[in-house]
Amino acid sequence: MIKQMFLMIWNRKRQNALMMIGVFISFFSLFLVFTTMIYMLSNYLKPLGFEYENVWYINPGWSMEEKDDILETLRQVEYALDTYPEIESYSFSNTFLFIPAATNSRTYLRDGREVNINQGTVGDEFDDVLNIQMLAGRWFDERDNARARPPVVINDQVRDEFFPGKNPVGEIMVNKDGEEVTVIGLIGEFRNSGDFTGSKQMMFHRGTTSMPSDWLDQMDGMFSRILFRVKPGSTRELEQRIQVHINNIAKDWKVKMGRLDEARESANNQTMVLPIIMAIICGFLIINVALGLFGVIWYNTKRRTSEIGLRRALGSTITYVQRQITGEAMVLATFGMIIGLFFALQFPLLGVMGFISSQIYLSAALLSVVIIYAITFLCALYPSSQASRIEPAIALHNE
Amino acid sequence: MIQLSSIEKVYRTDSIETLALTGVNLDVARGEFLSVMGPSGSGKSTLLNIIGLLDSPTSGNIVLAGEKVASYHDRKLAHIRNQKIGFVFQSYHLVNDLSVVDNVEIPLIYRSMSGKERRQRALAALEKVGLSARTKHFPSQLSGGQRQRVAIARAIVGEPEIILADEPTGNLDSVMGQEILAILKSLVKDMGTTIVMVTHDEPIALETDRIVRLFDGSQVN
Repeated sequence: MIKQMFLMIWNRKRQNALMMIGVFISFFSLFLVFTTMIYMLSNYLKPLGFEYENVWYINPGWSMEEKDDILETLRQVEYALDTYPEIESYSFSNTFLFIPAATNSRTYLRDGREVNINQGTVGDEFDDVLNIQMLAGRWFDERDNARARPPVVINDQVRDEFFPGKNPVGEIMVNKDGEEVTVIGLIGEFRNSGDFTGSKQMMFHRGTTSMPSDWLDQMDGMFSRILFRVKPGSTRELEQRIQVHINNIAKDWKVKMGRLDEARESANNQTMVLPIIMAIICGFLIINVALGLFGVIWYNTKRRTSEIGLRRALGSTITYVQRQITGEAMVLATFGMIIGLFFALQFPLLGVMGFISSQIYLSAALLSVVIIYAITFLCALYPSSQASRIEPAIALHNE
Repeated sequence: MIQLSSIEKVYRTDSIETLALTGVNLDVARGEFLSVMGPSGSGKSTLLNIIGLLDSPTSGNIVLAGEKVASYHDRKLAHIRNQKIGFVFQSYHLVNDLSVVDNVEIPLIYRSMSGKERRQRALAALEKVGLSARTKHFPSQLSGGQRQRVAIARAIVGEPEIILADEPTGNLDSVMGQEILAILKSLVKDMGTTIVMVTHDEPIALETDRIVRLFDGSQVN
């Protein structure tokens, strides 16, 4: 029976091609959507690498003034923040936190190969403000004031790329311009763009008001921030007091305040826009394909009424007829998916999106296969049920 | 081999009742070649469908090869159709997407049998009807007579005790018709098959063992 089913499908290959193309397109669309969704979900389940609760920020928004004036004003802001017992720690940072679309990277050389690494310039208290755990070495402090080479802290993604299997502390890295830096600390995951975004290579440089003002060159006024951790339960009233206070110190600056948990929510919403649009388009496509599949299976079944009557006359039971209609649809779906799988497997094999692991691709492919089979089965259910009700005596007169 | 008693068949729609068969009693002996004749609408095909378990009578009893089939469910009826009955239709009813030999194999795919044995039996059946040279052809590549011979091969491949033929020569010229009749007669003679054949063709019917005539759903002498 199975052999003859394949024979029939092969002999009707032209009529069946349309259905297979439909299955292929919907499978591939589903694969892309599921890959995106599983990738985002797997990111969501990973730790961010820092804590954002009770962390507030000030965007100083300084206009282009003399660097020494900026530095002096920032020192005054620091003194001001020191006066608040509710503030546990604070740090400068130009690291994009929960701004998914923004990147700031620099090229470093690894065995003659160029590798882009995301950069951030931060203060000595940055690890305390965000509760970042060190895996090796230490965070910046005053011991780094007299270093010959600028110190950097890297994360494990950079370590895996540059110093696989080694403790990177004490190692020297060289950027494309020939500038050398010394690794003084190693941290783990640091996914600053939000819960749904992937791991990335991260390198932190030091910037504090006790240093010469050169580090300010790396701080774009738009994105530089003062992050500070407040005691749990701190209110909006405190936020307003701090803002008024800083406004009084930096009268020409456009000071804005915010909270990282709110920024995180906003970043997550932004990140979800694309997959939601993809899912909606994919949903419509699947409905379209399901209707198409149903139509094709229904039409084929109607066209084969006489054959079904004949098979019933020759000994086929109702169950056999149902199995035949459903089985043929499932086999056609399988062929469509085999074509889809061929293209889908090129993603992990060719490393099209290297940041997505093979496991995610395989899970997405598996999930797409299950969904397509379910849709095909449901679409074949009604036509096969109708076919099984065909009276052989009537069907045999339906030539 | 076939016993029908007091068979009645009524087709009902919302407002109309059509009496297709009434008071039909028929005994067909093993190895008998019986013709059923009658004008269009006299109930010939209905009678054949009822004997072939493709349709159920409104009332009356059927005994096929010793089995009372009135209370049988779909699975059991399908089994009897598959094991004991072969069908030959006026319009052949071959599956156009399958080759000749694959068409002949159809009744055997509902039996537990290896593919090799199925193929051997299908080829043997085709040899019996003189179509060994056309096994890989498709129905559209055959003449009407050849198609009907394929249909006969399909009917005999399972070695059924009964063959039901609904106007098997109806679409063929007289020479082809005689050829088909000769094949059917040889089945009765060589294999002891019981054949019930519906026909409009008096000369063909006269060559069978017995003729049953129907008129307006009733048996007439």
